[in-house]
Amino acid sequence: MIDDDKDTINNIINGDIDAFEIIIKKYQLRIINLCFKYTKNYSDAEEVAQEAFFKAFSSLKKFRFESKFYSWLHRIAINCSLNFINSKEKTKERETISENFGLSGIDSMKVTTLSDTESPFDNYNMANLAQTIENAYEVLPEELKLVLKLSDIDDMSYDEIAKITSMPVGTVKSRLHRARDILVKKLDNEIDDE
Amino acid sequence: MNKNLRKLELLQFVKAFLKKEYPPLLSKKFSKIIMLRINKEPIYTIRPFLQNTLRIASAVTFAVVTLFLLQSFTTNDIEYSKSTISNPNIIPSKNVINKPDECERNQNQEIKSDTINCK
Repeated sequence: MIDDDKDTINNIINGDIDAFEIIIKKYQLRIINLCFKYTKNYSDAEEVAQEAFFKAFSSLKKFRFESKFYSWLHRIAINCSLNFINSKEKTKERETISENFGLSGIDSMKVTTLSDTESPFDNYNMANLAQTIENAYEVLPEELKLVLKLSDIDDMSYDEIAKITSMPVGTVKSRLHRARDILVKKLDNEIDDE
Repeated sequence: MNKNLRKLELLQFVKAFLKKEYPPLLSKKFSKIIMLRINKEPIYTIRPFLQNTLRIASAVTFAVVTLFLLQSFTTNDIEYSKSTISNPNIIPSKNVINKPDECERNQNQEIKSDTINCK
């Protein structure tokens, strides 16, 4: 099975640890979003996602390229999320018992204050950035918009797009590159202005 | 940040926004925090050369020790013959005391027991 990440993973295993940042940048949104579906809380989701990436790095040598790397990472993230939920439920049980015996939940207060210290400037406001991209997508030329939709929204391969649109694969690739480039530049400017 | 890494991150943002699959917030230091943790904990640092060398060395040591043990356990005094043994029924010898002169003197006497005492 062909995996886009094979070279990057081999580089990491051979000692180029910094290359793991490529993996993080590539999958961070999908993994945080996945964890968010389980934890229902952003700061918890980020914490669990960090744990998932860390675990993936620690056991990277066990990855045998029998499946796509993302599928493997996805499974790790789900396991981490389930472990987190279980441990949180146990903590809740302990807190309920403590409250019944008249003890204060000091630990839970500490967690709350820690997340409160984070400044809004430390985070990307994803809703605002998403709006910028949606607006930019709407004003793209139709031929670029179509290719972008088929590739990045409908997950079609170059060959499939070429068949549907009756265009050579090379044209599909160049149009897709142009469309993505426009949106990436737009996003880059927006983030710099934030 | 590395220019290519930045471009990769923004491209993933674009894909996530187009699919409308993104979390409400993202820490700007998300990847940095993980990388710091990875670099802080040397136990997780992958050192393939050292690990492979150790693995080979331990395998060789194990093989040598096993061979030595096997050899010392399987060695015995049996000698193997290339030809078929023609006379497998060996007549048991009688116990004698190693005094040949006296034995010769008693040669014609009646044998009363298995052991001949050469007096």
